[in-house]
Amino acid sequence: MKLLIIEDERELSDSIAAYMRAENYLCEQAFTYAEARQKVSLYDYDCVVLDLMLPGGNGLDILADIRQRGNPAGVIIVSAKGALDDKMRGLEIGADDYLAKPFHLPELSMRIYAIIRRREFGASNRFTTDDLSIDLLTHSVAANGQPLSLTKSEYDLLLFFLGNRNRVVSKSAIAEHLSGEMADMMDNHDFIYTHIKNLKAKLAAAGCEEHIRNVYGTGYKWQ
Amino acid sequence: MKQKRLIQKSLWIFSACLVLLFLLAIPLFYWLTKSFYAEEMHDVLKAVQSGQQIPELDLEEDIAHGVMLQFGIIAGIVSIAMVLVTGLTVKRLWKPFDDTLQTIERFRIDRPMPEPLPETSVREFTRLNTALNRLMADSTAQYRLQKEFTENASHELQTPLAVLQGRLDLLLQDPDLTGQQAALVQDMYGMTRRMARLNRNLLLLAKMENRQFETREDLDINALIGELQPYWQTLADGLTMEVRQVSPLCLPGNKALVETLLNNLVINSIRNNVPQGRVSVQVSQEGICVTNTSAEPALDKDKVFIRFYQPSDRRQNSGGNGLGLAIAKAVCDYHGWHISYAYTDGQHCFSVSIPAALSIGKD
Repeated sequence: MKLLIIEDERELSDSIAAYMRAENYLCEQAFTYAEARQKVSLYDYDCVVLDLMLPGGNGLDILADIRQRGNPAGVIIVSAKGALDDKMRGLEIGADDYLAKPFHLPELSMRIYAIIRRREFGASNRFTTDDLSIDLLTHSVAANGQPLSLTKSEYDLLLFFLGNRNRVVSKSAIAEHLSGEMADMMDNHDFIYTHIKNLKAKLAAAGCEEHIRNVYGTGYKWQ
Repeated sequence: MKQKRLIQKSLWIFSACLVLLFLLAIPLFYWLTKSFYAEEMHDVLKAVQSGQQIPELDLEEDIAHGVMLQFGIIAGIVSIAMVLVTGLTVKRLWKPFDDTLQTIERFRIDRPMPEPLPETSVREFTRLNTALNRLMADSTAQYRLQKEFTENASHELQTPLAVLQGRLDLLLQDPDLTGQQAALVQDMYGMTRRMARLNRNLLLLAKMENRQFETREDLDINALIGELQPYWQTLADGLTMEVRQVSPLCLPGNKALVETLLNNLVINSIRNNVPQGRVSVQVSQEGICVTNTSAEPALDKDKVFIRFYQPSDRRQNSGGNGLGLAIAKAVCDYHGWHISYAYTDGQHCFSVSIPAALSIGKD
């Protein structure tokens, strides 16, 4: 999987790249508008992470450029502006997703994963791992051929874990993924325990044990 | 424009008025002279001409009468002049002042600047207008700068916060991390989240003040609550959540803001609740009412919607940042709705009432 990270803040760009490389993504970075323009015109990427405010130009122009070339790369906008019309314009021009800064790296990773999956399995909307099979259209999950009945939260949680395989995701990242900005307003994120416990139990019942591991009590890891 | 001082103009009008009135009063003075001062003289002349004996004269009495009358007439003229001048000056001379008053009465610091006040023919009023123009322009500019500052500062903070959060996400991946270090990372994580939330809330308030949510659509409140309810349910661990939809409620509003309003009210109720407590949301034609049980005593009605307000006798920190209800109020103000708080039977109740004129009848 080839990823292009267009972000002028070097530390943030490096963090994203490091996080994604852990799951064997090939990450390239562009720090300025000109650099980004050049890279998207020369190479093909599976997914582009695009910041809108860049030295030398507006990220939306790069997006328009990618789409004009008929480049099938998935594009996810990350912006500090968060203004509603920016989001609308981005999605209108052809961005696949939009994430406002600050965000959790697991959230970004999960969305990149979702975009790439959607593009790869465009027609079938189904993907499988070693022991799991998920139909993205009907939201049905089967483990070892045995159908699982998951609640919406458990299904979301499962996809979130799959989008962050082999990496530690913090409780707050999970909480925020499950309840959007509302998680922000809660002082503790204990409500996620119930969902994780239930998901674990359902997976174990179907013979998929030892997938979700608690790490130091601060986060979880899917292996 | 030729300018005069106020006192000069008043004196000028007064003198002109006086002269005019005296001129008009000439017949009166003529009559006065003829019938009092010159009356005896007239009689004497008549008697001499006709050869009769000169009649007895009472000069003293006539002159006394004349003087009294003359005094009265002059006083009357001056009074009339005064009344006329006052009427005239209030109407004409003070008109620019009245215009100025009207303009500054309408002046609101959060509205666009009105037309600058004009120059007038009175020097003092021109000075007043110039000073007021400067004052209004300065305060409007200052107010705008201050609002923009909040917004810009919040924007600028987003990126460093994103960097910090990303670094912490990355640190968690380190396989050599000890349990103790992981706990430290978790603490920092929590603090970053709090800063990010505070920042987002301040930005939201600033944007509402700058009226950046122009899009309005017709919202079906019951449908909106239906969308949000699963999320609330996720958060309301162990609480009973009840949604009563007494009647449909449709009104024009900004969807993102109204969602924020509902979320803030409901999550505030969830957060300040007791174990096994209750949250109830009721929608009727009059508005929305969110009620919850709580261990907290009644809150101060006048202060509860103020930014960063924390009741002094609060038993525990509920983890809020003191902006949730302030934002709820700002959203209501933005749409012209009214929000109020009441405490009855040990329950806290936040009601949003919608003026009848604003809701759309749904058939």
